[in-house]
Amino acid sequence: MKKQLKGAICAAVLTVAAAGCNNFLKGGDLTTDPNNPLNASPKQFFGSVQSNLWQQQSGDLARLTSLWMQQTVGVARQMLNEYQYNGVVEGSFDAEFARAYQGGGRLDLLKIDSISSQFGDSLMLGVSKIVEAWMIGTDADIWGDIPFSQADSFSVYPQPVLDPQQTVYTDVQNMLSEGIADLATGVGIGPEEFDLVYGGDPTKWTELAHTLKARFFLHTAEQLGTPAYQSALTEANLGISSNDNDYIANFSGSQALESNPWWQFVDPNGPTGRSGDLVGGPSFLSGLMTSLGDPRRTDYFDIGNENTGDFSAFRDSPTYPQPFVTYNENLLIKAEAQFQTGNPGGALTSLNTERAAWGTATPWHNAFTLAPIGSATLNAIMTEKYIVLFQNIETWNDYKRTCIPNLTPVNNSQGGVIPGRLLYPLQERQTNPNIPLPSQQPARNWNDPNACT
Amino acid sequence: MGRSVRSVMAFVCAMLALPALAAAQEAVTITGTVTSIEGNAPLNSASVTVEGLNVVALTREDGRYTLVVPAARAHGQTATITARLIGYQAKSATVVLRGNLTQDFALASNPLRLGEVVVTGLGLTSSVEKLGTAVSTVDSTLITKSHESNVVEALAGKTPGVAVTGQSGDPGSSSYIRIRGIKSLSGDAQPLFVVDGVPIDNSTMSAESQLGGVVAPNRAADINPNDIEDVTILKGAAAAAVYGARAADGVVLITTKSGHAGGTHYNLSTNYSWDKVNKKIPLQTDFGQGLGGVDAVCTHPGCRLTSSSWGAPIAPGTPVYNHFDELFDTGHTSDNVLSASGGNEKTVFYLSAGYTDQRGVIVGPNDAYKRQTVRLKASHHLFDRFTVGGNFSYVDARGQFIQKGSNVSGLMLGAMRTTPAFNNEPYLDSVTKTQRSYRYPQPILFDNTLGRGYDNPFFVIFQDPNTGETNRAYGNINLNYDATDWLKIEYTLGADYYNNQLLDALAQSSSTFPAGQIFRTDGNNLQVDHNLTATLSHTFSPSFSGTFTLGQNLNSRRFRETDVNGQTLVAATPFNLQNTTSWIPTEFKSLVHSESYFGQATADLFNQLYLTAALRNDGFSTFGNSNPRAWYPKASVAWSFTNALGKTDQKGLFSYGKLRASYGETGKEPGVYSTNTVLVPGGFFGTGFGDALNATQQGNGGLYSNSALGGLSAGSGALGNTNIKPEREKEFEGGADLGFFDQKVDLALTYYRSNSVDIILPVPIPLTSGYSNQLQNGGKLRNTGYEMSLNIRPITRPNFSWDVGVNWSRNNTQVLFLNGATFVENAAQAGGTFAGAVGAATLGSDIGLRGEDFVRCNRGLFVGADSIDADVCKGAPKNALYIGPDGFPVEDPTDRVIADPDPHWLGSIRTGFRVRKFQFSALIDHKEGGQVWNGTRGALYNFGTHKDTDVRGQSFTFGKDYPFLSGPVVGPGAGTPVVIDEDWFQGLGSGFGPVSSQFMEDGTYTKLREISVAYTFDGKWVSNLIGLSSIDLRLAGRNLKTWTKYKGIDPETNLTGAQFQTQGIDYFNNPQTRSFVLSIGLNR
Repeated sequence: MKKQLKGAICAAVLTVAAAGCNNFLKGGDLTTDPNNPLNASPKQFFGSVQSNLWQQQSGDLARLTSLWMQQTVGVARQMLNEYQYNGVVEGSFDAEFARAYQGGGRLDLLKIDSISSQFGDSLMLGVSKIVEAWMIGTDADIWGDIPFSQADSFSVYPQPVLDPQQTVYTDVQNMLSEGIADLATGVGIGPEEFDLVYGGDPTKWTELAHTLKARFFLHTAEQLGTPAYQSALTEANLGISSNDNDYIANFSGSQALESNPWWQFVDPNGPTGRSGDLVGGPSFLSGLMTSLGDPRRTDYFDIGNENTGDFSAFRDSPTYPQPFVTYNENLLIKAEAQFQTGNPGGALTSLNTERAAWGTATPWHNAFTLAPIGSATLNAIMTEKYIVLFQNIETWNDYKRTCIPNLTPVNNSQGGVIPGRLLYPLQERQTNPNIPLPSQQPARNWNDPNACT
Repeated sequence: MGRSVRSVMAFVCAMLALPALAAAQEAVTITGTVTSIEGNAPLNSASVTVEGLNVVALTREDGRYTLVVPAARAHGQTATITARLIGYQAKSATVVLRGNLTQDFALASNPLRLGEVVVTGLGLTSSVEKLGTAVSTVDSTLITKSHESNVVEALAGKTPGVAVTGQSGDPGSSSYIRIRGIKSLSGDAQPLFVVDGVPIDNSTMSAESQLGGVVAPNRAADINPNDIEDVTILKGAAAAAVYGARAADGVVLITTKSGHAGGTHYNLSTNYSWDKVNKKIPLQTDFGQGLGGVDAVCTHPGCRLTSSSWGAPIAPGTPVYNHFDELFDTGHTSDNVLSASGGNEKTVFYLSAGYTDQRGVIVGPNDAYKRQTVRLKASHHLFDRFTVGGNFSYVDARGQFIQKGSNVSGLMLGAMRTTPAFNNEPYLDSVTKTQRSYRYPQPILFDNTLGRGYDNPFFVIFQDPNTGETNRAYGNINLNYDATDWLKIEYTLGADYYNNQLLDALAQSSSTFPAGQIFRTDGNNLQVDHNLTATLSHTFSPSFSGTFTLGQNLNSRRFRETDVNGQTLVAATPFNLQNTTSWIPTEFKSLVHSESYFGQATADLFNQLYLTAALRNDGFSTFGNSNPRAWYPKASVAWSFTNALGKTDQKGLFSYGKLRASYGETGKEPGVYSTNTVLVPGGFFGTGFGDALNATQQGNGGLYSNSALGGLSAGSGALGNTNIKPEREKEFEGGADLGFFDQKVDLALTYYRSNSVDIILPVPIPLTSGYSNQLQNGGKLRNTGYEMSLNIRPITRPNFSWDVGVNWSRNNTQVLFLNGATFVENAAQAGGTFAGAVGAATLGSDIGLRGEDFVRCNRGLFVGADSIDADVCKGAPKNALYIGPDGFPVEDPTDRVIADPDPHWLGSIRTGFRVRKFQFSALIDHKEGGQVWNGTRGALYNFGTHKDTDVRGQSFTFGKDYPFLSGPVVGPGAGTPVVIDEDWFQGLGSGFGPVSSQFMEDGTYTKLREISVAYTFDGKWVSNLIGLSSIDLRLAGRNLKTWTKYKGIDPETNLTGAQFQTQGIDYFNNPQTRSFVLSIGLNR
């Protein structure tokens, strides 16, 4: 009798316990992350790619370029060390290297490509290829030989090989050409309102692509000579045709993380707490502009104003629209290419057209009257470009190719030259045997065999 | 069926009739004294039980007890009465329950606690001598005497193999506990905490990154230490295997106090402590703000000055300020506990209320922590053989915190960088009433949303409100059914729920966010645990008995957190969301289930050989679509070989000996949802300096693949993996427990070797794959170690006793495999790491800090094209420092292991004297080795405020007389004197420079952890005058003295506390404290 009672109790408890066990381990919030989405539209991917592109073009790399090109001065902490070429080691720029490949970069651009191809959205496909070429090309400029043909395909190529820089540049040109061809079909929807620069306008994207092609052809000119300049000229002729078509980042400034990254970094009200670390201060550029009597100096600098990091109030603004690729750059590419292909007259016209373009205000600069230049020397063209491309990564590429302006390294720690490339990221090296040890990496990239002395 | 119903009815009737039958008898009163054989001293709090009737009484201070067996249960039968006390051998006597009886007991001491029962988890218990594993128990006296409000901190130095690191001296900060080394590489690597059989949450939740923000408690700190009866630490996998996949980092079993039948005991105790900062950061007071020896002068309101103090010497007579001392005064902690416990033969209860009120050492009212707890634990014999119990605790914990760490609005960061001649008071400008700071000394009107560079520390203290409020209820209901003499069923249903409301706020003009911002966090955690066990026991013969337990465990953990970052305050106050103009919300929820079955069999052979084997099968929902189930076995053997030699009296030179050996496996499940590959909503793209762009711009919602790029939530799994196995810790342990000199000396030795295999970690993969890491079973670690504890009781006289205890342990961790990677940063695992001192597991080494060093010999390095090993280093000492032609060391850009935060060994010595009613005790705790990154010193070199920078302008020679970098030197510039000045301290010699190895310091310390003198008043006047039975008075000191070579604050510190695995980080951490404590206990 007693035993039966006990049995009943045991059975009841076990039944209650076991009743809950069906599907106790699987399904719903137990298995699938309820916090994050799994799918997105091409437009949504494009929205984040755009932010990532802007961060690539105006974040750490742009700051480093401005320091090394002596457009700005590092005066405290890491910026002081970067300015003096210290602390620029493998590991310092992992995120910058990765940016072009990862979420918000090529990884998501390939997803855009796949969905857009499936639904025949050639406009989106074209834009996507142009951005991919731009982002990957930027990495090739800085790191030289980089993984590309085997990148973004972990299951097939867990350890992507390094493609030679020259090959990557060819791929970049091909992607830009394909992008132009896709846009030319006029088929599809494109990024529309998610494109905060061009609103998805295929004409503007096409012009941008041509200017980018011209830019990347120039990056091969130190090795390839005249043909590269000729290609650059051909593309520049099809490139950005007016300041209305400039690629400038539109920051709403409505909150910290919709604000110009330069402002975020240098302004006391920016979110980084890094105000005063990097200043416009007594930089080579500011001195150069003073000595040239260049009126645009007031557009750039307000030396002595600690509350703006010595930048002008116009530039030091959360909403300052940072120019990345402009009509002005396109004209100066043209000028250099014309000069290098034996057409100094054309070069002079291009250079003075560029200077004349300052006569009209654009979102990124005020109106200035600049005197025409009398003769187009390479020095005149490249000095103008060095001034115009303030805060732009492209100034480093121009310097590596032309050694203009004649910068004096801030110290001799790099053998008396300004570094020509960055070391591959530490994580890439330790996970990918195709990356050489720092001591076995070249000091300069294929496209830039000669250091400036 | 019909017959059963009738039988039940008959049974119930019989039960009802029982009292009537027994009413004819008289109640039986048993009185007596319990004393110790050694010295005949009365024993307090010994329990005396009438076996089988469940009538229990406790002895008073004079050793006397009174037992009353109700008339209903006493009918002249023969009964066994047993007296028990922890640390003594139980003794029984047989009496006939009739009339009034006297029964005295004289107990022999039992220092090895043989025969005593310890809980071993999941409702299982074992007798101490039968344990095949090293299990450490810390009892209530030791916990109370530590005067720590956080039970984890109270375990410091108490038991070998357990390392405890307090985050800082801030009230409400966390304590990190590590048992026998690092076993796995993800999460916070904290052990599982179990209170009265039910797992509780011990996570550390913060509103912001723990690199900055404010301190946060580990949630086990919600337990009132005064409620704890004992803490048992299951250290190795063999001991913890019954907890399967949650026990990789060990298990801490906490048993709370219970009531005993007999009179009701009351206790009111009050502790009051005076807390002071125990160690300071040395600062210079000789040089002014400026650069290049030229003072920076503020010429106009609104001017911004350099952050550095590399100006001219301060003119004599100019007032200077001690920017460390001015921040601190004496803190106070008051801790009050009232408890009542007692009961009768059917029902016992323990009821307590505690109130801890801490005011920290930082000046002002905003460094405080208050904890109020109530606990009721009761059990009732519902009917014969069936007991129901309940255990309920409620906690209300509230803290006010000060911003800390790597944070330009942190207390120490702005304070220590402040130039010595700048008076930080008042922190508000007298005219504009806005924040003034040394970099922005003259605020202009209406600039109250302009950043100050670094915040004035007093502004941080008084203007930034940071609060935490936790309401927590946890407890269980348990049923015990001794169905027959051989079958026992236990059921526990437990729950742990808390709500955590956090507010971190920065006032307008705060340098981190000048427009002002708040972080609101609302976190809810619910854990429900169901545990059912059935134990069969049988004695086959006097030399063979055994038990067999079967059990089921179901566990559900539901977590939900909502965070809103409200940016830009509209008005200066209040700090709430509607007073901000934009909001960044984040929500996270998770649900984890586990379902486990386990069995354990024990066999006791010939009273000397004890075998245990167990097997657990665990299923976890976190495996997603991988196979969720796995087996975890264990086996152990304990052999009391002195019994085999016929020496059972525990006397003589070699009085007791036991050998033990065990093997077990525990594991770890993957983090929740880490098998998924997801897109990120509301993410952003940043650079690591704080500048970033949202994926969403101008209202266009951007989504992107989670690649764990800079700025993403730490520890995100990136590329998912649907083929994950559980991580496994396989541990062998062996040891001996020995007694000597009539058990006056006991010694326990343990060796263990554990292999952690299939460690689940986000293995770094090439960045060019598109992802930063993939969750894989990609790691293997080995821990080997020794543990020793030795206790000596040279004197055990009634009026005088003296005992000494020594603990010692060492552990060695080796990383054996990382699936192709040469190292894995902790950043990829759980965040909480720091540029320049990156916590990482390195192949062939251990879990240490990585960064850069100077060029040194014998590392295969090149300077330019020269292999220095081939020429200048020939014959030089290993690791000699290479000095370049200019006389300075040279940066080596190779990332390498530069520090090991793990101690080489841990040791502690405890001693106690008792002279009549005086008790004296002391605990000295030693940590040998374990490096700490003094990032504070590195940064202060840069700013020229550290005392060491007083040498500026002087000439030194590296390797000879430069005081801050020692060791042999070689190279072309060796022996060349150089001028040490601003260029060095802001360049290669700076904490912001690339070489962080120079700020790695030996964290060895010796601490006088605890010292106390106590006296118990129990004379007649106590009861006559105030009606109490005794009064305890104790004067104690906590961390009164720390001996260390560390050049910053106390080396027992860590920036991220218990939240992350990476230890050894000191970057403007708030200091630690030492305390005097006065304690009064009233007992009745």
